Amino acid sequence: MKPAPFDHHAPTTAEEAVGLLAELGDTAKLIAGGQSLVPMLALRLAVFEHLVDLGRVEGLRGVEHVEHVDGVGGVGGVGGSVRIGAATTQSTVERSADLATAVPLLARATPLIGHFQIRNRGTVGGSLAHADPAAEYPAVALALDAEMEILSTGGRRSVPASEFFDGLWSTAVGDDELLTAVTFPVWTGRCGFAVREFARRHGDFAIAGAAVAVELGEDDVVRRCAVGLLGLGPTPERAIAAEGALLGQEVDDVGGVPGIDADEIGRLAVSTLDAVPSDLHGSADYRRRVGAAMVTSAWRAASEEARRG
Amino acid sequence: VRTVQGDTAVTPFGAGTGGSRSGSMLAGAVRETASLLRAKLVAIAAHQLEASPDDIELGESLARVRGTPTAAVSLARIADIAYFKPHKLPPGIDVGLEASARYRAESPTIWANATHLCTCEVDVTTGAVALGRYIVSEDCGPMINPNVVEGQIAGGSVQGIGGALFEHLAYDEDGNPLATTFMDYLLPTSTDVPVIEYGHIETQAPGPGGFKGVGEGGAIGAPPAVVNAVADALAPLGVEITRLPLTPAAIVDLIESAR
Repeated sequence: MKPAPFDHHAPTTAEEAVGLLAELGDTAKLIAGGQSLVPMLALRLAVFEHLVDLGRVEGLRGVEHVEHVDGVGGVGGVGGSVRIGAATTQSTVERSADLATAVPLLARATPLIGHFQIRNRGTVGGSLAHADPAAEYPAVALALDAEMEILSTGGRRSVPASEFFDGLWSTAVGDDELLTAVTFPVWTGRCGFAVREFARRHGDFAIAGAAVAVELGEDDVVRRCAVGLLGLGPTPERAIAAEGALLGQEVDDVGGVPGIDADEIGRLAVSTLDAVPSDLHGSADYRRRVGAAMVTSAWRAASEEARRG
Repeated sequence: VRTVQGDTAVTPFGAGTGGSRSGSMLAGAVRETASLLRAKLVAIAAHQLEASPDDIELGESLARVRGTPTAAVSLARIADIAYFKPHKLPPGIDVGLEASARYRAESPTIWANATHLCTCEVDVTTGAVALGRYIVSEDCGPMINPNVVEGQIAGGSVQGIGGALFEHLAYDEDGNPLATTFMDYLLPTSTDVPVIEYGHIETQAPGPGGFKGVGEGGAIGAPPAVVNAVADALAPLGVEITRLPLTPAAIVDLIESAR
């Protein structure tokens, strides 16, 4: 199928792009890599009169380190953060040795996004703004408390990931706004990171998945822990109950903490979910089961890496 | 060389391919047709060389009189006679060098055989099936083109694996199709199927050339092999496989209901 006709706009600056949005209203849609939008247009699940193409907006691409003297996240001292332009492609993230060190969770989630052809076009901001609940980057952003920078003709604002994803394919970005960048805190110290997901075939949307980051003290006590879930609700989710159970506990060599083994941590992570989707590929109960297994596996790998650190 | 595929305007009337019969039927039809043409070549050559048709042998683009190597006429010359010099044709032989024939098999059925063997691992938590080794041993008689034989087996086997594990035309309670795009109707891709190993056994079929079919040795054998492998893996849990496709969610259901 082919999309309904639309007018194509190709601004060269972010300001010009939001100017077009202000002028065209909700008949316009931003397009970056188009890896989700174009199929939706082709299937006519979405119809827009105007597409504002971000492909020529150079200022939206690139990765830069931001030093924070007070240490973002408050632990480990001099972590700072990394600011990624919204139109930076997923393959740029995948190839960045710098990001592999600074934000390992993001780097490790990247190869799980579709296929490499998709990652060559798909962008960091596109994935976050599209906010598919089964996508990898939203879960990672939520787990790591990323900050989203949003621009409109009215000015700039910043939204934490915890307030960004507000529904199925819905975010805090308004019709007249543009997500310009995302900032991830850099975790330092004895840290471990892992992403696990289960999909029917290589490159398919995950049935369920988990992104886990953990920082241990020298005594193997959990000082910081973040568990992001994907495919298990209308939005990416944080496994607050599991995080709470782990924090301040000493981790053993098989990923258990006193009174709770790694399998139980998985079950705990999905225990509070109340809107797990159900479809052709699995019921809500099935997704919950798979989600628990992904959390267990990711937690084991992350805590083991942290213990080695 | 220009090949034309599947154009009924240039082919004789027929019932099409199916039932793994194209190879053996075509071999028969080629033999019948070639025999007619050969008889005609021999008749023209015998007349030209003043020899008995029984003494004519064909080879190296020549028709020769057996035992007399110098007595020969080229196929080009025979064609020239057939089309342009009808006065040199033997009595009763038509102009031209074309023939058409049909084949009726002596044997009503020709059996081709294939055996599929595969190993698998099943993750009892997610229900995921990972195929290990996948071996197909087949007997299509002498292989006319081994690449085509293995291509047919591979394509059929992958389709069979798809039927066993992935492809599902699901409908909701109101009869609406749920798998309307290839995002939901899953076909196995190269990353979902193992390397297929082949074994070839050649026994002669009763027809011309001893050829048998090969088309059905792939798709038909794959589902039972895959299903039996999964059934064997899950046997200790008391699971009985009762439905297809064996999606991860379906396998988890079967495991849970066997508890």
